[in-house]
Amino acid sequence: MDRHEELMRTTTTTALLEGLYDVQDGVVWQVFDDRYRPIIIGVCRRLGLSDSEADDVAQETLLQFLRDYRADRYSRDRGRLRSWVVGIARHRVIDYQRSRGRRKEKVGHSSAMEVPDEGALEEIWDQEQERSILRMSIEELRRTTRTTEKSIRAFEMVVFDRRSVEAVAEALELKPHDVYVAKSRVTTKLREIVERLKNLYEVDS
Amino acid sequence: MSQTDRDDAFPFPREVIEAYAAGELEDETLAAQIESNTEVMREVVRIQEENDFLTRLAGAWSTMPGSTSVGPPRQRIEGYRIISEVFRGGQGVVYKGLQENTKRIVAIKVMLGGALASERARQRFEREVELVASLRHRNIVTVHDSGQLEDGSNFFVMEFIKGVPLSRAHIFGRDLLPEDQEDSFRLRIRQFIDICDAIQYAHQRGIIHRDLKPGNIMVDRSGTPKVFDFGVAKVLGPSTEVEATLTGEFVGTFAYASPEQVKGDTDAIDTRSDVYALGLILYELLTDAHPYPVRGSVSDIIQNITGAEPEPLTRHEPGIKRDLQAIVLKSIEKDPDRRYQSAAAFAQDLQNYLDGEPVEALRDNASYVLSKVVRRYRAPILVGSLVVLSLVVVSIFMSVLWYRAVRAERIAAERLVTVERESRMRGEVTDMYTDIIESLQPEYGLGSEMTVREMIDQASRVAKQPTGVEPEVQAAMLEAIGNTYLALDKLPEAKSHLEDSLQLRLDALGGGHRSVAESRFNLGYLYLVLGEIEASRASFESALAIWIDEGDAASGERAAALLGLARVAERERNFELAMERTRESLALRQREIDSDPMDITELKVTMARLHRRRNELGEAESLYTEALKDLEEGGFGTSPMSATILNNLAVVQWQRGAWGEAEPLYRESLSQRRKFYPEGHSEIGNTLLGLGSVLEKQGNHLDAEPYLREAVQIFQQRYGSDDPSVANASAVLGRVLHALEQYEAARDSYRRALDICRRSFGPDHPRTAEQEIGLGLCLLELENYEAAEGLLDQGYAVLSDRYGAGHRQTIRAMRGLRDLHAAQGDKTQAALWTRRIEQAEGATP
Repeated sequence: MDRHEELMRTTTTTALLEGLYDVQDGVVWQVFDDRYRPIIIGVCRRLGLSDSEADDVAQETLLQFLRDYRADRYSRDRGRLRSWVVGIARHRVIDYQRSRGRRKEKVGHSSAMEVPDEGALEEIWDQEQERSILRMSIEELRRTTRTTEKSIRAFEMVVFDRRSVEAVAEALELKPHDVYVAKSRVTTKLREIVERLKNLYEVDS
Repeated sequence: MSQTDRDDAFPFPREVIEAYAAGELEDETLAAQIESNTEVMREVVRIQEENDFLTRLAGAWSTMPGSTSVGPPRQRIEGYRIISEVFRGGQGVVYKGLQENTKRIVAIKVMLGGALASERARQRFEREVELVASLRHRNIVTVHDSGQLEDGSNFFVMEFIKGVPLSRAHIFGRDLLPEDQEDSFRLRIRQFIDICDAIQYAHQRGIIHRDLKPGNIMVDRSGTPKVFDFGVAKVLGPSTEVEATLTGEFVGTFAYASPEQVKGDTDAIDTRSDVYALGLILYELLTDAHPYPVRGSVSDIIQNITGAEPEPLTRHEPGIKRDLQAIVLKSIEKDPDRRYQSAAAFAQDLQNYLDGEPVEALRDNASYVLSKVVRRYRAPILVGSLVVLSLVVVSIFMSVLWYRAVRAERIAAERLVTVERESRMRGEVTDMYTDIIESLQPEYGLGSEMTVREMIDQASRVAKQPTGVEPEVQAAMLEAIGNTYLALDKLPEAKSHLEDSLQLRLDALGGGHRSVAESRFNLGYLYLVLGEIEASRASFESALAIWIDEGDAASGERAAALLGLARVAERERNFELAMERTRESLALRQREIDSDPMDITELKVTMARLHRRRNELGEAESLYTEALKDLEEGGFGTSPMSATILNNLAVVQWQRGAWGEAEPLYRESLSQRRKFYPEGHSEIGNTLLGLGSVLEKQGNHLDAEPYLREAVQIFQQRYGSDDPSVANASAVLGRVLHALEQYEAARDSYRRALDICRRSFGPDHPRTAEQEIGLGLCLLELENYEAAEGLLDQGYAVLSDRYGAGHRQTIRAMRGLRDLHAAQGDKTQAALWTRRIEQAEGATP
């Protein structure tokens, strides 16, 4: 396991924030980025931004955060990390919608939608954070698990394809009992991963 | 406790417990039994929690805007296990995956849009992937594998880079420290030079990226940039991203397109389009901005890409040095010819900047400004020449100064004098001067030849009486002036300057210096043009001798000298020897590590021509075809060179008498030449004449006429109305017009041909006779019998004398005379000619 993966799986955001002061350490920033970029992108897309706009906002937000943080403009007393980042992102989104609104007015479209206030945004943030963690967990499971490919397929077919246990059992030449066991086993594993990852975001909890 | 243990502990089958937990158990007796068992009920609660979790998990995908499937990607690709989706773009989806047999993590890109439309497109895709897979460079993402999925969509498997897309912020994480600004620029430039190296490496293998942007460059955790997605964009046609631009929405990737790309001129896209994108990337790395706005409507963006003057970098980053700014701006010139001509040249100039040496870009700017001023003043020749003269003097002065600046620096660098550096510097002085002069040549529409002549004459006076200029610099200038005279076709002047230049070098450097070899080589070509074959051979041979002494470093030069000797032999019609020299040259080129594929192609073309001249048409055809294939593979399938080869292939077919085969080749050559040459260029004229002639041969006179008319016009403008080329084209045009029964026009055309032939070849030349007959036949139709008779008689006399009575042209004259007498009612004479014709035709095998 390389350092990035190790930090990604075991280091809390609080510890990462400490490491961010070291400008030479690209890996810490990378892990921070990997952890929060998907959330910001998710929030932006929920607000109706296109993929490329969401990417741009995430990029600008993270950079602004890093600048502020290194300039000591962020301190944990003044509010949680989430609120801080949400605040930056919100301004960027508003900028985008304004410029898009101007463009659309020119060609006769309706103007941009309202950007929710920070409280509402934080709620969206939490949902996106959970979503992000679930996704990361699946990824980790697939990468690291010793569970057989068949178990994972059985799990995926039941959970994501919403197929009946009987149908999955038939397709994979298993007994229904085995499918239930596979589902249960994979779920237990996943929940462990999810719990661990959730704890890493503890600065927000 | 493991799952299995737990299962064994329950008195109910798992299906039943699960059904109960899901509220789907219909058997109430069974339900009651479950409810009475606390152990089982605990399990039910556990399952219900698990199911809640799973519902949220499934929801994590299904509520994603734009998501079409529930759950993470589960594409199945033989031999790989997909771990997650990394990126979804207009072109395709990138997955992170595990190669099962090697256990290595890879990136798998599955192209969207399903199956490639045709078998041909698929083959092109595969060839492109194969090419890209052959790239091995530390700054290029390695492609391991490719293939097709069951649904027909294509995928390829690449090295997985743990890192982030290139950006100003991520490059080193240092740029947030303003006190280190210059340092951080330098770090960034070093990293950027690595990217240029990667692109150059690919270009040398015939691969153009075409879609360079920060998103296609990953920076790994060690800070090493890695470029990916080479060339694939083009093969797969316009991506949905590009199509989305049509709706008027902002599109990110569009921002890095070059002017030639947004103009949709796919043929104009070449390696320099990549140079442009590289320039934009560097601009952005240094300033965090784009040189022109790339948001807004598509038409605005295109307008900006093709027309907007780039904002100076200093507007965003006042600390950027002038040299660096000049380099970036040169790389994003709208006109590809004004950019760095290769990624390597771009990188070299950045290296110059890092090393504190003068940069190419500024030198170029200076000469450009000069030539711009000159352009402005060119019109009033008399008044302007004074300004122009002083400008030429200034330019020479400047080149001297520039040379001295370099030299001073070199001395400072512990007098590290190497032959290579000296010659490079001289090369740059020469280039600069040549740049200025060339920019004034009439081909560029920059004033009359008279002005240019005057300027060079003046420059020549300055260069011949230098004050305080070192002999090497003077030699370089004389050489530049000589080459300019050569370009202007002023051969005696060219000769005297090049010879003086050589003499100076011999005196200053001795006979074995590589500059002397260069001089001799240039003179070799000049003598060849002048027809001084012996002198030419001697020059090439002594240049070759010097380069042989230089060993492997000069193998390219040796190859060039051998080609020169081949040309000498060809001129002497010693095709055997010419072929041998060409083969030697080719062998040298093929051994070069970084040989330019174009050099090899050129040698193949030379060999093809030699075969053609020896009438070995099969060999000629296959070599030309091979050369054409080389060009296509190198991305030069539509280029001045391919146009020439197509033309020559047409000539081969012509020599075979295969008019039908020649025609499409001429047509393709013509359409390419029209793209590359300015209107009225002689090469266009040549192809027009060829095309007109094959059409005439096939009896398609109607189509032939306009091409031939244009050819005549071009040759007249280009070479003057006395030139034999005008006679050639006019003669064919005459035949066509005659066939179209436009006798008066045909008469004028033949008359023009005849006048030129009489002057150029004399009255008794068969070519002259042919025109006399043609003209005579027209006059016959116009009932000008007296004049017709004189011409036909004269033509017949020459041709029967020269070719004999049985020749096609002689018989044509005889038929003319028969018809003439018949038209005049002289039956006896007509009958006499009829008999003669029958005899002559009987004599023809």
